[in-house]
Amino acid sequence: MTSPTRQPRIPANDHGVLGGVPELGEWTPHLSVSVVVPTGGAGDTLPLTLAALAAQTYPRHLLDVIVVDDGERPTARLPEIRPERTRLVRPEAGRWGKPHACNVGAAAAEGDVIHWLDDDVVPFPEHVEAHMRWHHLARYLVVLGHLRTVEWEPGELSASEVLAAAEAGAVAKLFHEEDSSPQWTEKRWNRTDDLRTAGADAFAVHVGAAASLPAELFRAAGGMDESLPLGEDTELGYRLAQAGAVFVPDRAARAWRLGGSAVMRREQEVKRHNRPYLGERVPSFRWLRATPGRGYRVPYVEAVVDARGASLEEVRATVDGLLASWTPDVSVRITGPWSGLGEARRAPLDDPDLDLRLIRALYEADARVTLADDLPESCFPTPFRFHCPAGWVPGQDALGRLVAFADRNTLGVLSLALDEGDDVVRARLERTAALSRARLVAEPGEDLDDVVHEVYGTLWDVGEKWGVVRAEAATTISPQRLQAELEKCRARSLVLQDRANRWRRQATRGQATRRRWRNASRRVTRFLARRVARPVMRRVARPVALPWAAAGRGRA
Amino acid sequence: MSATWGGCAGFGSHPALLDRVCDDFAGQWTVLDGADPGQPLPGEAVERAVIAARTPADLRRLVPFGALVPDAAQVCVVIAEAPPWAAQPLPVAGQSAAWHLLADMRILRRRRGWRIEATFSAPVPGGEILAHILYGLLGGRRHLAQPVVGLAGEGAFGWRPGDPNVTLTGVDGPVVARRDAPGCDLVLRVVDRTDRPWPDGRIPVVERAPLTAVPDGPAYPDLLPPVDETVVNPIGFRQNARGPVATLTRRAGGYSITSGLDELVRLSPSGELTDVDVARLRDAVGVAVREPDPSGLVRARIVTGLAAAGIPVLMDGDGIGDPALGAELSDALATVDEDQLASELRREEISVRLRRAALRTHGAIPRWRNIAVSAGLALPHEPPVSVLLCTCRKDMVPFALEQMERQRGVRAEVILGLHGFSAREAGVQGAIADSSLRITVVEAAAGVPFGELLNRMAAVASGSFLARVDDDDWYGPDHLADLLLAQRYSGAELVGAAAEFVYLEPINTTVRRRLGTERFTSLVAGATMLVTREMFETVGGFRPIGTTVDGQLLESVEAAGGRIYRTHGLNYVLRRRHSRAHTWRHPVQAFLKSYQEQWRGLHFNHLMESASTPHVGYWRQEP
Repeated sequence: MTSPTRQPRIPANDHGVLGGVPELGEWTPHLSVSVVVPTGGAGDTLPLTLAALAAQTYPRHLLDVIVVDDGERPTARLPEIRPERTRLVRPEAGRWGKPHACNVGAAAAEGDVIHWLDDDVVPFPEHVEAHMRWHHLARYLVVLGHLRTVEWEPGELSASEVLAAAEAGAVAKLFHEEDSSPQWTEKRWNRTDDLRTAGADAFAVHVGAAASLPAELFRAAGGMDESLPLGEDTELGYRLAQAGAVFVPDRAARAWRLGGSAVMRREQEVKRHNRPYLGERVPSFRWLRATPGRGYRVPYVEAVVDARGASLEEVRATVDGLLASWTPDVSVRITGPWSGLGEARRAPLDDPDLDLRLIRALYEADARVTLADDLPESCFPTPFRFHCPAGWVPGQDALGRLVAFADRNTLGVLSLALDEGDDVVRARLERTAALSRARLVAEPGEDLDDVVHEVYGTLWDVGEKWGVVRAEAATTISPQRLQAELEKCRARSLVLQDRANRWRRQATRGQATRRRWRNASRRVTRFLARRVARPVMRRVARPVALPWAAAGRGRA
Repeated sequence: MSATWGGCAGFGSHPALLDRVCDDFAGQWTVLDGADPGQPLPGEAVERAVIAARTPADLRRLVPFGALVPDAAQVCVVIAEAPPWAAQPLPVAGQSAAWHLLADMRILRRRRGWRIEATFSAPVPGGEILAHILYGLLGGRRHLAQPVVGLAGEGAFGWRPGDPNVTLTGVDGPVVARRDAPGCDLVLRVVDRTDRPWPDGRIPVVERAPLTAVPDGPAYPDLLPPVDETVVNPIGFRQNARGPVATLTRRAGGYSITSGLDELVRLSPSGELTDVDVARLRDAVGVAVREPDPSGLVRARIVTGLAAAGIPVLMDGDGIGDPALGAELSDALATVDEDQLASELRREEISVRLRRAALRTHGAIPRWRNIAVSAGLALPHEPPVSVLLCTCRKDMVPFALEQMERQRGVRAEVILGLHGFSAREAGVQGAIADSSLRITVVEAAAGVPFGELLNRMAAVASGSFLARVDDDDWYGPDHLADLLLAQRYSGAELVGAAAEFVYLEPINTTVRRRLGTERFTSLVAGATMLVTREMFETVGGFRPIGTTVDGQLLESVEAAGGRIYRTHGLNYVLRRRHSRAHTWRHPVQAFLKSYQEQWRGLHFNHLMESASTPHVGYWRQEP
């Protein structure tokens, strides 16, 4: 993204470093916005939405509206009350669905910012302004509106009433706040200090009903995935995050949502529907990928092995080690001069490119392995890339542990020193989101890793600690061996449990014994005092009248 | 000859402890820590003398008063508690005649303390035995230097810790003369009223009021009894103290330092701090001193003790401005911020600043230098340091000289060893000429072993201490001064810093490793070693070999019975170069294996007073 001014550098999702936004009505905007309203054509709430848009505080010359009519039959015309610059577009012939409608709307949009608004949403007059003040601070923010859902009967409200309320500043009074229900995402906002501490997972609350983002960012992320009938906003959020976006909720960007959304009304069914779609496309939802031994559309980690100058044995050890990882959704990209390997006549065993040919023969047909001449700059939308030098093998748990560690510490790059010759041999885990953001904000000539360090973190560690070892030292654990270990542990735990029980019994027994003895000794003492000491003392003390004996008797 | 004499010191606020550690002595104790130096010396020898001290610090204070201990055929020294870092009380005998009469000796460990029973065939001076036992406990003979001091008045206890060469006199004199010499050069007299006449006109007298008295003039540091740096010092400093901030509070008959409901330390009304007290405070992240005190001097004394031990002290503005603390310590105290104590590194920086200021202003050695100078006595200079700087890269000469040029607080000369090139070469000559340092150049051919060159350099050095530095590492401006300070309080023959901070050049990363610091050990960073001339000559210098000369010197010092002390590592950043530029035994991975904190780029802590490369944020090892 090109920008005349230096972009602020936001670490992880902590938009607090921007230092807050200007107060509503007290700033001067210059960016234009296109509000895209995809509508199903049922039509009774769209006039209300457009009426509310007609009364926005954002300057009219910077705001236009694109209504995408995705209904089965085209709507004849737009309602009377609407913003000045409102256009109606139709999806391409034979295409349907909200993602497509959004893409069509975005393609028609001319504004710097695209602002999604569902056709059942009635925004407050300052809604668009509240969004837009963020976009003036940084060019990679996705701003989320603050929706309250209210029960609504068709015909309850007319467009002119909405307009009148908006002009009188009384949109808040159209419905009762206490009768409304918040979005499910609001809990998450509360828990994470308005997503400031949400880290790399902030995208999960991206809801497209009232959200805005720079048009360039939308295009860079590849637009909406049109194969998704539902849950398209979550998937877009995931890709935006990989493109470097920061998610900012604004509680001042208020809007009413008329009638519950599908997610709210038929929650379980929606979840069941989205599970296969999102599991394939959002690797960060690990709970959707519990099954081992299968592939997914978007892998979790793309491992990169450079075959240049490496032997077949080295590359094989590394690639096989990566494929054997306990993290199943790993794809491997082997880079090398594959296109340069001609088919000219040659002596098979004396070929200078022998090892390259053997490597190609070995992995050509594996679905999880790609052979590539050059490495693309980014592995977008795969969330992690792991560079591993040939001849070094990560343990089966290494990738999982590395990624978990990087997540826990919001690291952008985790480098592992493996060995030192003339230079340091290194493996490197990269977070796509961090590198993308670094590219967005880097000044020309700046070292990208320095920028990554500012927007996420970079860290050096030693490979040994993470089980990345030389091929000779690498071991894989067979399931049989694991099973045997498990049995051993189980047996040991039984023995220990037994011993603990015995000790516990002994301890209680000892306690009982001690109690018995203490009681017995007390009884004996009492008996001695009463039956022996007292009569003796009486007999002895009385005749000689010892003063202390008399005093003692008096006390008794 | 009466049966048994008993003297004790330091039990003022722990009376029960005295009975516990000396259950076999029922007689009347002579309390020595309030003794009047002018009281008549015991004439008659006794069968047995028991001397009980609560801590080594009390024993040190007792040593000048050794003359008050009668001669005895059996001497029993009881130390109730010793700090964990103290050595064992094996007597280091001089040529005193007493030890020739030794018949039997037993040294027994008693819980956290010691009991030493020595039997002689005839009565011997108890005070002398005491001094020799103390030498062993603190690792060899250590002495306060000139002048020879006379002490008078009951409050003089604690003014001259560990010095057996004092002259005790009465408050009104006279000073008993020594053989062909006056009894002392200077008398320190602790009296209530300043108008008491001093009869001996030849010997200058310095008057001090008792600490608890309200001073009538403006306060200044010299009014406080000194901090005995031999026992109250940063040894044993804990980098990862986890406890809460402790608080100084008043109690009946003294002060105590409490943490919540726990009483960590009990202090006497005169506020003296001992080594054992300091060891108990090591877990506290700091001590808050907010108690308003009518006689500010006691509070100032407690604060100087805590600061000298490297314990962060939190005070409010009033307390910080106390003139008795001295300007340097007040400035250091003003930088203490409670929030920063949560960070281990910030806390250690604070601690180093405090201990520097306190030990330089209030240590026994500087205090007596000051007193002597104000009394008009001429003293010898402080011992100078010779810096051995050896390089085989001529482009590093300006950088290395710059690192030494910024050293402050020491008298230093630089012996510049040029390994394989000449001082007349371009760049080198200019750098030497531009430097304001006193530089002696030693040139050697590239084939001369490193150790041999260092020995040649040491031969032309004139300092009492030899410090080795590297040409490519970074040194904070107080590096040499802190090493000298560490040498002074530890008494070790060789001191060095820990290579905690390492800049890994091949991966542009600075790491901080966790190495135990402020302790006696057998390893210090080679490029930070400071060795006494005496020990250097005892072991015969460096081994004339090419590599690991530092490690070999450490081994020889240990073999010669010397002690090695490792001080903090905040003044030193080791530069780990590219392996192709340097022969390194440890690969980069070795430095990454056990780091505690990590910074991107070259990072300096605040004490280095250099600019780090600008990268925000750092990373800390997960606990």
